[in-house]
Amino acid sequence: MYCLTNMNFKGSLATLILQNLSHGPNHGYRIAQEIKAQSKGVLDFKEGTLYPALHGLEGKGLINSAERDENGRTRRYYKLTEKGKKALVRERAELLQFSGAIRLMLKEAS
Amino acid sequence: MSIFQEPSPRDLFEWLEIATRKLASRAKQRICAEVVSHYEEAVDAHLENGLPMEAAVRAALAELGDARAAGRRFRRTHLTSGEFRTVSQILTRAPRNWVRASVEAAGNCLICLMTFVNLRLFRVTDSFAYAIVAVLLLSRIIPIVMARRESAAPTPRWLVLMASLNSLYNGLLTLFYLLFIFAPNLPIKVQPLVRLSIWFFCLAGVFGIARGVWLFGLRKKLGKAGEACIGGAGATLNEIPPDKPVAS
Repeated sequence: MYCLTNMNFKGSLATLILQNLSHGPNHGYRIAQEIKAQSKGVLDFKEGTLYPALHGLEGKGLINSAERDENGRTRRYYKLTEKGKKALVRERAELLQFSGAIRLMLKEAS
Repeated sequence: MSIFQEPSPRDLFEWLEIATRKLASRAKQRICAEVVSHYEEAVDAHLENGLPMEAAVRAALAELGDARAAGRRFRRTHLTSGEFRTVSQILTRAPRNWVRASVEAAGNCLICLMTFVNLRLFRVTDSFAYAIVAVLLLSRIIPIVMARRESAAPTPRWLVLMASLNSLYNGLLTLFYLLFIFAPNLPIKVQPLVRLSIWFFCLAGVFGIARGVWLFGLRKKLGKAGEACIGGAGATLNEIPPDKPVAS
């Protein structure tokens, strides 16, 4: 299992958050669960580190947030901004290039 | 276990206490609200999966991870109490409109121009000295140009950037006077009081530069999340709420 916070590829958690939000607004708990479920539990991270990452992205203007009351519980929903959409395209291309290079190297080694 | 290391949090409140330590109260409130909501959902999910209450609570807390690591990350994105005080002071003392901001910057430009005159008077021929003054002069013009490009009301980020440039400018100008005008014209033997003054001004210059660099870094925290810390977007020139401790 890979720990995202220790992965030697900076910003991967941020990219995964942006990718998750590209499907529509979402709140912290569901973002964490969806990232874990979509990677079939391979990409694991401590959920306490999710909020600093979300707040950092909000500080950079890549996402924005608003509180919403649902079933008697106040949830903060995050939404991708236009700047965030552009950043996601760029980050996704970089991650794909990176993982493609690793795959090529491993294929050669085997 | 080291005696200096804190024990791991036993419940959510201890976790939040550690993770939000030193943060400004508004940041604390926001983080607490989000993490509590997250934790409650996690406990509910574990209960639905058939775990007993005690195990569900323990699992939800474990999933949050290391509170100290989270705290370090939160302090990178949110203002601490000390930083909040500094930003509040900057915002309350900041020029209330662009006219005053431009007049202040123009005043600083005048000091720079006087420095050029001083260089000529003291017959400084080093072109490096003139280059530094030109850069300092530019640093005073940049805020005016930026002010024109920004929206009508100055944002906290912009005001902190101005304060940062001011500190850098004051520090660099002090050191500049010492190095290029004062020091070369001093006699070899100086009185102890003069020597003490030189050291004092050197320290003041270094302090000014260090404060400028620190404020420049602080500016990064004043994005949208940072603005929420000081009373929400557009709170720049309104009353800044005092940093009251959060009631537990």
